[in-house]
Amino acid sequence: MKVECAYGMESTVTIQIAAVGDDANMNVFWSTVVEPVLARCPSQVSIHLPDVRPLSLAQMAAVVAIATRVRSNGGTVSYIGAEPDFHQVVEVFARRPEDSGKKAKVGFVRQVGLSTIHTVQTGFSILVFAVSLVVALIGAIRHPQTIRWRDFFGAAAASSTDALPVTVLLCSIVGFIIAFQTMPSFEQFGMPSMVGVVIGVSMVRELGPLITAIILAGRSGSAFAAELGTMTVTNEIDALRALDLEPVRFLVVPRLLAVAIMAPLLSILATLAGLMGGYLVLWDKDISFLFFYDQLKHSLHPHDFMQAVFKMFVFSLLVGSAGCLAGLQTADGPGAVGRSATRAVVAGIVLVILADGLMGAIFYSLGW
Amino acid sequence: MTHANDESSVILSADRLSIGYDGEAVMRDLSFDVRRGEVLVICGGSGCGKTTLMRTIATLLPPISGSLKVSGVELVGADKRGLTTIRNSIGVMFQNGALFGGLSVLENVMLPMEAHRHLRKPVRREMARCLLSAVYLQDAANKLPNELSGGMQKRAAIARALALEPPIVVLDEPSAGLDPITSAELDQLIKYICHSTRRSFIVVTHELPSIFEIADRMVFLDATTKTVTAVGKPQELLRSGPERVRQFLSRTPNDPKKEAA
Ligand SMILES: Nc1ncnc2c1ncn2[C@@H]1O[C@H](COP(=O)(O)OP(=O)(O)O)[C@@H](O)[C@H]1O
Ligand SMILES: [Mg+2]
Repeated sequence: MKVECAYGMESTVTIQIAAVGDDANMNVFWSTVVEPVLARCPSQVSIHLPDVRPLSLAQMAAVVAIATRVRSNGGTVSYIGAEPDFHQVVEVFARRPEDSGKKAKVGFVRQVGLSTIHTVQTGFSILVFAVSLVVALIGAIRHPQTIRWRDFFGAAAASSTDALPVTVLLCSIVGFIIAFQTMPSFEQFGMPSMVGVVIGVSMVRELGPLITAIILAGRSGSAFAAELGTMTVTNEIDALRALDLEPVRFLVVPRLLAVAIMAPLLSILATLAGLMGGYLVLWDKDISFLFFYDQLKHSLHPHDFMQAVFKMFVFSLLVGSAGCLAGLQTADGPGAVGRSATRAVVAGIVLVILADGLMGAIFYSLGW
Repeated sequence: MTHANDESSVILSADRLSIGYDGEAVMRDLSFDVRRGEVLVICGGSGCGKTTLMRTIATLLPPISGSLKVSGVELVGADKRGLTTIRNSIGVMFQNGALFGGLSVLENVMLPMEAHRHLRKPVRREMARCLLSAVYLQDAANKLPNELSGGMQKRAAIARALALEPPIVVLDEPSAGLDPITSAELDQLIKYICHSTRRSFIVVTHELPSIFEIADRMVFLDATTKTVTAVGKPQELLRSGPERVRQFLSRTPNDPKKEAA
């Protein structure tokens, strides 16, 4: 490859464009010829073209880079060894943006203001969502024939039978862990059988619903956000609105009803699994199942079970609506659906634990 | 041109090619070839299998039967190296653009160069700017794809298809969604790149002005017979092609009297 760059008088520069070479040659040509010319920006340049036609894109890029730079400074460019219409050919590739100014930076005060507005807007949109959700739920209960049963059954299966294995597995392991972690202390006091009470109370009143709710947030909450988020990104939500179908009623209600009905049932099975897991440790200490059952009967009351089911009902509504809201609020752009799914899971779990604490305090102060 | 010369100028040839999904043929017994430096237009009704053919040519969909040769390499039963050869010699613009949403338009065009060439970044950037200029997107270089209109996304996708200077460029409905002026400019661009660089273009379009403007030859796919009805120059097909093709090219509606008969 020949590289020539003769700097003549009166800042006239003659350049021989590199004949077709491999990429390494082109790199050398670029740094030894093109970049110095771009830096010096001579007022007159004559560019010798190689014989082989057509020029490769890299060769054309070199010609265009020099030509645009020189001309933008009021200089002239001439092509040697070019066909007559070569000027026009260069023009095809030489259109450059009018102003290449970068976007103005956002100042600190403005930044704070913007994020305040954003927070207020988000709070407001959550309020709007909650109101329209309540309206839509009441409407759906009054007119059950308007519910989209296909979505309902899909979400119902996903939040119950599909989630059953993992929920049962995790709860039984947690029950098992609690039992053998507390066992040594109770043995110290000479009453290992009291572990049964601990497992019963913690599983039924607290952990059964809580673990189920967390799994629900991870599986159904994120799925709702991804489904509705994808529909938002592909304008399907807009299409629904344009068809005068309210997305909350059409998409959110069936999903919420599905989890609100199925998740409490799932949490009952999860609780039973937790109790069984804990009993494994008692069984190892030769405590009979009947004795364990008797202990549960004495330490728990029917309203404990009712409370657990009610809590799970609240949890599932929170997780479901956090997921759907995150989906409907999906922004534009790449990764937006992923961010919505993340937000759905995090918001779902935070809401569940907050609500758990709140309900626990209320039930306690009421003496339930 | 001698016959032997003619043979060697064939860069892609399909022979009794059947294409479709899961063994179910959408089109059967397709035979046609693409010559170096020509624009071959593929047209046919909506849903007749044009995109399916594009996907097959782009090696994304295995043919059901028959043979497809690209740059002398047989696609059916090709090993990894063969596939690489074929993929490197074809640039594809998908019907919806298929730009990478996380990258700016300029980065979209630079990405293939980054992966397959060993050029320094300023060179690649200047090359990408040249391509964007050629498709009139110089002002959108730093925008994200979802900030562009549909037609702009298509043009960006064309620029990306050209990034590696492939000998065959496949465009799926490039002018759909463009205004007549931009569409005409795009036709000029396709013709220009094709004839000045002896690059072959396979263009799917049903826009009649576009067909007559750019097509060196056209292949007409018919949904009813599920195969190629005619291959030839558009002017000749309009004059003396099969009836269905003449009807298509002259934009004549179906004659209800004739259909009843
Ligand atoms: N992924 C797919 N799986 C199965 N069938 C498909 C798929 N994509 C398209 N088809 C079918 O193949 C046929 C041709 O479609 P396509 O090639 O997209 O048509 P067009 O000519 O409009 O581009 C249609 O009947 C369509 O239903
Ligand atoms: Mg198509």
